[in-house]
This record gives sequence, C-alpha cells and structure tokens, in this order.
Amino acid sequence: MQHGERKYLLGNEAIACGILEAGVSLVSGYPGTPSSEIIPFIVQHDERYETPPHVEWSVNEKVALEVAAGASYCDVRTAVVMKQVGLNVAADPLMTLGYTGIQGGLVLVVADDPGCFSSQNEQDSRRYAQFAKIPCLDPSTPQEAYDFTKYAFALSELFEIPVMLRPTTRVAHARASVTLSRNQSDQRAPHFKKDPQRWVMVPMHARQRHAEINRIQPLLRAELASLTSLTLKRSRFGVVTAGVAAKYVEEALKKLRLDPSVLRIAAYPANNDQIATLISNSRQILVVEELEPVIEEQVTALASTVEVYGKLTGHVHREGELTVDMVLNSIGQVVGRFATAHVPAVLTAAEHTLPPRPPVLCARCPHRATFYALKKVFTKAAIYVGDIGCYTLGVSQGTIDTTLCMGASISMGSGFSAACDNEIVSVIGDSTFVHTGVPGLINAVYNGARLTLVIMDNGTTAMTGHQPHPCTGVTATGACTVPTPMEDLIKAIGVQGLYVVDPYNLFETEDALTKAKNSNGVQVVIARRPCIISAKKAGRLTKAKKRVTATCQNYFASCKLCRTLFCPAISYSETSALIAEDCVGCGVCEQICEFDAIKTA
Amino acid sequence: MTKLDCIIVGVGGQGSIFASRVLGEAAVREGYDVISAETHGMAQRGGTVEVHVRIGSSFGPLIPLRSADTLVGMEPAEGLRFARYLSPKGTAIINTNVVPAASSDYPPVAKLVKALESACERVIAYDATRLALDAGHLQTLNVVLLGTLSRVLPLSTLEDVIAEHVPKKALEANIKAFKLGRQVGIA
Repeated sequence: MQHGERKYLLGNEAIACGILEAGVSLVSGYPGTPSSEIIPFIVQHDERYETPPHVEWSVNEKVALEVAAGASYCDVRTAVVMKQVGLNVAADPLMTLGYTGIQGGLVLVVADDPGCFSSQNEQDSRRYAQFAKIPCLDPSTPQEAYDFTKYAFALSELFEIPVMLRPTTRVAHARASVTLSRNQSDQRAPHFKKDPQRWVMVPMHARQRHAEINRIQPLLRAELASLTSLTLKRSRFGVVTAGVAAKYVEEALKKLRLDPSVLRIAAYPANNDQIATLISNSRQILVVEELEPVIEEQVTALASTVEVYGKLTGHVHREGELTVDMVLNSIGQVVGRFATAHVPAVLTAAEHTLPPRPPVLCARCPHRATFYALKKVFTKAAIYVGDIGCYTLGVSQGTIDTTLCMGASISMGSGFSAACDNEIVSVIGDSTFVHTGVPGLINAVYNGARLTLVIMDNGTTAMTGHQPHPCTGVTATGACTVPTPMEDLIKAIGVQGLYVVDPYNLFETEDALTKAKNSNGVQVVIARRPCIISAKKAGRLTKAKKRVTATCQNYFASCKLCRTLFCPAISYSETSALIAEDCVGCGVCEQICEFDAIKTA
Repeated sequence: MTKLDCIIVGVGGQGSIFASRVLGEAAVREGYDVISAETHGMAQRGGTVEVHVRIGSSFGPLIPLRSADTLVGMEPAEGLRFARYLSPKGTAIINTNVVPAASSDYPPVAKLVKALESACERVIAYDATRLALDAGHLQTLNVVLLGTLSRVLPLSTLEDVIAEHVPKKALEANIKAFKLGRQVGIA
C-alpha cells in the first residue's frame, strides 16, 4: 500500500476515499447536489476490498438512514450520504438514532448548500445535529473532509453514536490536492447483540437512553476540542470562524495585515472553555460562519464583557454564501480598516448588460414536448403543481406553478383540488415519484382527490447526474435487479385512469391528456422517453440522421409559436426561425408549426 | 511561480471544467497545492460555467475580486461577465467566437474586448473556435485556450496531462490544438 499518496480530488471524492479506507460494510444514500458524487466514486473504487461493501441508492433518505442503522446495529461500519433537504426526509430515524446509539461506526454525510446553488432552501444541518444531540464535523477543505471522514468513524464508535460530517458546496464541490494516508481498516465481523433496553425505544427505555445521550454531551465537547484551534494574540480583537469561512477569514486577515486572536471551530458541540478563553482575551469578537448563527449564539450566550459582532448584529451577511470580499467588509466594519477591491464601472455594468443564460431544458429533452402538450390541453387556467427535478424548468413554459419539496406535487395537488375548482395537474419525475410520490398518490386516491398526475418518466434521476432508481431495474453498482413495475404499482393503488404516451408524439400525448382532463378522480399519464443525456451516454443516441430546417418568411411576424418551446436549438433572425446544429431532430417543433415552415429532411 | 489564481469561464458544453481539471492536475503533478471551485447552474448545457483555480494557495477555493492573474474566456460575453475577478495587472485570454444567448441581444464583440482591455493589463483575443476546427474538432476549443495559457504559466506538464485525459481517437487533434493555441500571440 502506498503512503502519503497525493491526488487532485473533488471534496466528495476525498470523502469517498475516507469512507473506503474506514473499512465500511455498507453505504447507502439518495442523490442530491452537492453530495451525489460520493456513492458512484465508492462503486468505482471498491477494488481494495476482498468483499466490497454493499452500496445502494436507497429509495429515499429515510430509508437510506434506516438501512444503515440496521447494519450498524450489527457492529459493522456504515456511511449514509445525502444533501441537506434529504435530511428532512431522514429526520424521523435520526431523532431517535441518537438515543439508541449505534454499534459499528455510522457516519452521516450531509452536504449543505449556502447560496442555494442547487437547492430549494439554505437550511443548516448543524442545527439538525444539535437537535438530534449528535456530533457534527465541519471541514473547511477537501483535505479536512478526508481526514475528518476517517476520524468520524472512530468518534462514532468511541461514543457509540452516529456522527454527522457536514461539507458545504465549496468543500464538497471544491477540487484540491489531497494527501491520502491509505491506511486501510479491515471490515468488522457482523454481530447483533440483542439488548431490548438499548434497541427497543418503548417509553421506559427511551427515558433511560435520553439520559444517556445527555450524559455524554460534555464528554463530546471535551473530545471535540482537539479539532479546534485557538491562536491567542496580543490584539483585543478576536475572530471565531468555521468551515470554508475560516479560509476566507485567513485570506482577508492577510490582505488587511491584521493579526487578531482566531478561534477556528471544526466540530460541534463546540467547547465552551475555548470560547471563554478567547472572550477573556478580547474586547471585540467577530463571528464569521455560513448559514445560521450557530456559533454566534453560543459565543453571545457566554459573552458578558465583550461586544460580539456577526449575523445577529448585521456585520455578516445573513443569507447566501460568503466570499473573501464579504469577509473583508465584515472585518472592516468592526475594526475600521478596509481593503475593498475597486471594480471599474465597465465591469459592474457588464453584469447587467450582458445577455443572461438562464438554465433551459436540453435540446431534444422530452419534458419540453410534454409541457407543450399540457399547456395546450389544460391551458393557463389549470394549476400546475410541480416537484423537484429538471422539470422545475417548465416554469418558463408556464406549466409549473409551485415547487416545494420532493413528492409534494401529488399531495399538494390533493389540497388544491379540495380547496378550489381549477383543473389540477401534478407534475413529477420517475425518481421523485418513487422517492416520496407514492404515499401522496395513495392518499389522493384514498381521499377522493380530483387531479391529473403526469409522471415525466425519463428512466433516470437526471438532474443529479443520472443515477438509477427502483423502476430502472439497475442498482448503484450497475447490477441488474427486479425493476419496480410502475404501471402495476399505480394500478394497484386504484387510480381511475392510466395512460402511457411517448411525449415526442404530440398527438398521442394531447389525446391522453384530454381524456384524463374529461374524466373524474385521479388520472395518471406517464410520459415516457429516456433522458437525452443518459441515452447519449448509453450510446443509444447517435448523431441526428435528420436535418431540420425552418423557412418561415411570410408568417414569421405573426407566428413565433415555436418560441413557446424555449428550445435552445431554435434562434430567430428578423425574418425566420433558425435551427442550430445542436438540433437532434426530435421533430416536436415540426409538429407544432401551423404553417409547415419547419421541415425534417 | 509562488502562486497563480486563474478564472476559467464559458458556456456549458465548451469544456471549461475539463480545462480547469487539466490545469489543476498538471500543477499538482509539479508539486503545487491546488484548490478550485466549479460553479454551474442547474442546466446540463447552455448555462454559464465559472471555475476558479488557485495554484500554490492554502486559502479557500474562491478568488477575491480583482485579484486573478489570468482569465480564460471560452466565449467573449462570459469572459467579460467574470472580468471583475481579474487583477488590473492580469492577463485575459479570450475566444472571440460567440455562443448566442437565447432570445437576447448580443453586444458587438469588439465592444466586449475593448471593455476587457480597459480593465486589465493584457488581453489576448482571437478566434479560438476557428483554431479548434483547424485542429480537427470544435471540442478542442478548451485545449486551444490551454495552449495559449501555457505561454503565461510556468507549467511543463500540461500537454502530458491532456494526452492522458482525452480519448485516444481525439489525441492527435488535441495535441495539434494545444500547439496552435501555444503559438497565438507570438509576433
């Protein structure tokens, strides 16, 4: 085995290396940006095991955590991977898993997303760790993410408690030189010791376990102090920071030529003694952290003699991700020394005058055709209840009116149908349908909702990078498995009407949607066509055999119907639509053109 | 070279991320600490892609405003969009070939280049798309620009890293693209 091997790795890949080297027996999770690369990397690099770990994309995050908990109760090491909003789904098992504790090390990797680059909110998973009374490690670089992952397993076993590793986007999706120690732990032998007082959370046992998890809190604080670094200086100004923000603070202080005391926290619950030491050495303390003021609240509670600045006082941005320039400004506001970068007007103006490139569905994406047919049949009057996936982009076609969380399209649709008389269309993808859509559909049928559910079935979890799901018949490792039969499942739930259409065939799709619209109860239309990117990757999509041309001339001024498709392959001159080389000939624009101006040759 | 901050930007599908990986991998191979950050929107293709690469840095992955040593723009409007990160003493390497933005007016390229010239010390602007086509494939655009970048960076392994990471059948075109890019700006 090589020692001290240096690699250029994505933070998520570094975490995957840490998980593999820890000798895990099971890894589970559900895809979600910015956490999705960890599980595929483990699958690709499990060769150093005689028995590779069981790796699975679970149906959702709650299931993933419970699968891992079961294995961990058997004394083997497990890792569970998800994004921050996925933790909401897994919150039920998490809240009690701290009480029972675990046996084999269980590391819960939850990637947070300051700035909502690919999420519907900016929740802070450190709050969840606090809520569940479990330790949380907060790396600032891919190297630390790797080191902390390995430590997390040892910590988890030391206290027999799940440990959360919380990278943020700029750690999980940073790529950096990482030194891998490559000291490989062996897998542990499975053994489940029956112990009802420990594992069966009836009230009597739960009360005892609650006392136990409270008892270990001070011990955790003492243990985690070793990850914290406190550098005391003569300055009466102190900075407390954590995560990637700690790196921004380092750089900002260097630019400002300031040398204050710095307390860098890397794990929670944070140690009060270290905070108290900094307080006694300082007159002013600035707390710089992303997302919620978790550390700031703790510092403020302990500080009676010093001024504490941060998010609560408006000195640090409350929302979004931080940058070095923002941190420079925060420090400047406290100490009165600034190093603001001067951006010339020509560059600041550029941000407003340059053409925007908003995200659009790919050329040839089947969703575009489905949305077009939906709009035509159900019109603007219907309420389109959306879900989480690429199809959120249907908002530009006027066919997504709400997006809340995974699976909400069907259950919110039921609520809309009970509350108002509009036609209700719920739009969900195949992976999201299996994730949390199924209970919503059972509920809709059971409680007599009136809605049309459109399942945009592209045979993959497209937005997060094309992971398989139960209906695909393939597992995370690429092995074939029993595919969940989508139509049989839906029929068994008792829906009143079920149609399966090819979205490229607009006539067929509009026909099915019209029938659904004119029927009662819960109607389901499955619009099935593989995601064009996964089809291309699988070699099932060769270059366009057809060439599409547009010659609009006379009609153009009054028409522009194809513009409602928002297809990136169609642009417009003064006189005609123009079909770009990106076009792969799906033929949808040809079908909708009322003047036969678009031709496939 | 003790440190070098580089911004690589373009439109999804142009290969900005691949270019940044080659740059980072070469620097790691030559003993530097490297950290980089990729930012791209929800779209798989067609959206803006912004990559920060920091060579010889122990800081975070995001480059502060007005401090990047080089900016590589795979596309002129994207180049100008992120020029706020470029140091007044920095170098911009810009492809002048436009990727049109859907349903929007695109400013004249000369105006974009002029704005860049007013904001930094040196601008190398040329039609890199044409050179990529000369090399044999449009997809070698990123490698053409890496070739030009190699003239302002003291990294010697870029070409090797490219050769290791491109498919065999595209090797010749990529090496040619790198060499064509490297010759740009030689008077």
